[in-house]
Amino acid sequence: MKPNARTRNLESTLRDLAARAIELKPKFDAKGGKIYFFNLGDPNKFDFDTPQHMKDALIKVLKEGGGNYSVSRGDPDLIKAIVKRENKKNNLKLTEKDVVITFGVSEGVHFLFEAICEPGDEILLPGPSYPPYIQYIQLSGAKPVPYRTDEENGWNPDVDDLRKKITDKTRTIVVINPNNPTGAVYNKSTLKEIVDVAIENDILLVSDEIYDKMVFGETEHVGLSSLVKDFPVVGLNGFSKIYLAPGWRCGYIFFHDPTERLGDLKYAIIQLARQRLCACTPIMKACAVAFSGPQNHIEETNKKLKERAEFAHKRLNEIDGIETQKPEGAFYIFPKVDLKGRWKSDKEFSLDVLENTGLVLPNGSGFCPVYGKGHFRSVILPPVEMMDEAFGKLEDFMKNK
Amino acid sequence: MREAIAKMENKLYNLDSIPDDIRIWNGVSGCLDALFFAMIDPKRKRKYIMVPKPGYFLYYSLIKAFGGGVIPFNNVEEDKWYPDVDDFRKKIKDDRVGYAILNYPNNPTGSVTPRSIMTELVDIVGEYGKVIISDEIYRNIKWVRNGYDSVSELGRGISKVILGGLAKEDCGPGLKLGWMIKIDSNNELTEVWEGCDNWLRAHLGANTLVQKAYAAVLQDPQCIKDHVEKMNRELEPRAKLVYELGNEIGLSLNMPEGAFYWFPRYNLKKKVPPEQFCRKLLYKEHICVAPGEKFGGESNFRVTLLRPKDILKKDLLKIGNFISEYN
Repeated sequence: MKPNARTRNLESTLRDLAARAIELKPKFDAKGGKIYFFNLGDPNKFDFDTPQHMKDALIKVLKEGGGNYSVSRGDPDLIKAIVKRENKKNNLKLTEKDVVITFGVSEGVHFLFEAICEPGDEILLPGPSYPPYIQYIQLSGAKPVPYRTDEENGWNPDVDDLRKKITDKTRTIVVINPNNPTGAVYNKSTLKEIVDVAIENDILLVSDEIYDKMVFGETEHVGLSSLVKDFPVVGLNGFSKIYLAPGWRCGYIFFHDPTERLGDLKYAIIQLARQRLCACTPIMKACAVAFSGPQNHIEETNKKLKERAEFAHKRLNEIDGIETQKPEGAFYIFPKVDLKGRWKSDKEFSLDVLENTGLVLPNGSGFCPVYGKGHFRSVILPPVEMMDEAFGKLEDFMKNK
Repeated sequence: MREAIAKMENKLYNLDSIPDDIRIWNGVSGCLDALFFAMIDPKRKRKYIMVPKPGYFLYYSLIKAFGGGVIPFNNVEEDKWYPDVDDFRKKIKDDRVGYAILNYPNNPTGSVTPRSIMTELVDIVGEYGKVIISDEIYRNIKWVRNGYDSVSELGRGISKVILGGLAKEDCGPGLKLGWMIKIDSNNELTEVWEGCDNWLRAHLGANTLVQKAYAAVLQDPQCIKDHVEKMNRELEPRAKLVYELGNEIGLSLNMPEGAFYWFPRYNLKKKVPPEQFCRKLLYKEHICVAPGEKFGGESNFRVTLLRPKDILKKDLLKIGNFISEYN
């Protein structure tokens, strides 16, 4: 049986590298070496763990019998907690009807573009950006159009470029801040300019803020919706990163809709949520206490990440042929590599690094063929010693090329 | 968890599944998303899927949402809601059909199909080179002996996907964990499986904690078996009650034999659509049941067997009053 041709839209160009890493693992293990999975944006694979108060809540919920279906929109207690959190953080007036709980932000992204896009539509995305955006937009029949983010300017969006790329087919401007893969935290002034462009052209704003409290640099994080009084913003957030619970698969969409223009979109998304009945009930109930319990893990996490970001920045810049900006948020670094005729493409570079050092560093063009090429992404989650060991191997590798 | 499922299924049905034949995702509804996404190409002729009628409404809405078409085959009310084999054969010949969904024990009818009929259906699918999707979420919730438990046991040599999950037998619907098992005897499903994988990878995988917990539960199959048997012992007397009392109070229904539903027909002097009937029942008696047309039924509605026997009895008497007043 032939599969749907559209299934190809969901293929990531980064898959070959990840598949090769898994294939190589036994070989490296046998020689006493190891594979450094610096491709995984999963803090819990390193020395980070879900806050105790959420684990306790989950156990309590299950002991009391929490296996029932929930309403498709999501658990009411969790929705209340989210409304409170986002209203306080961004000075909004959300009500409980403005939130939908999803299986992680990935399901939110999927619902959103399925609901928004018609074939031929264009969606403006930061270049580089998180690959599932590209995949889901393609799947909906629309076209992802990257706008330039400027490496020399701390990977802040180039608003002139963004403005130039608006056409009569542009449906949405997506902002990912703090950014995956660059680790940038966008300036308030730049965000304001983006808002102005969106209002001027009457284009919906989508803001992915899954890393909003993971900031450890000079720049403060500003929620996009906090800058917009009378224009809609769709927000995406969740518990995977700030609450160190990626495997819990719990995220949410919120609709800042002061002028009531998003009614149809909200309805379409609820219809999509109904088709999978509900998100995981006990997980939602446990996440409902996330914001009200002790929050000291956030400070601890940022302390670790700051040290690791500084180390990665310093250590990678010492390597000949590699140059990088310092991340200020999220947990990624996105260095530039001088391919210098040694490799035909960044993909070839990443595969070569993997084969020779065991280091898994996804190539930049997987995040954007235009503005990501000639780069790679690494997580800065591993302890300094592990990064030192791995980046040391990378340095030797570069010297011998 | 995939290893544990493979081990369990291999032992039960003498298969040779490996973990790579199994995918775990957000419930059977989620698995259907991934499957239909990969299976249905709206641009191709072969985009039709056969679905039981009456049948679970989600098959109908999902197949349409993915741009496919539904070809319903009949479950016959006069024959204990068993599938109509002739109708099934007639419809599967259609070139536009690639797959047939089977779902027994059945939602919404509570019917449990005997081995002889199911063997015929499976063989027919094989004869025409199509693929079976067997939704077995209610696999062991039944209180009749019907000679088989899973389509895995039947029609060796035919390609199929078996669906299961925690929602019903394990009473964990809100845990949202289901699985699909590929038994691809004819090598029909390799590319479809890759298509599913693209879907699953883009969604980043199911809840880790629930998967780990269930992998541990699967180490003790007897515990799961005891749990389901206990559930069946509770449900059987309720099925008997609704069958006997229901047929006295103006309904006609078959004895529910599995899953946890009954799908009675209401007998009124004039024709009233189920939606209208159910709405009035809700307003007047405060009883909420699902209108039959959502499942492809006629003057039927779906009720669960999940309320305790004494409450079910009261509900039935209220429905009886409601019908006699309606007439």
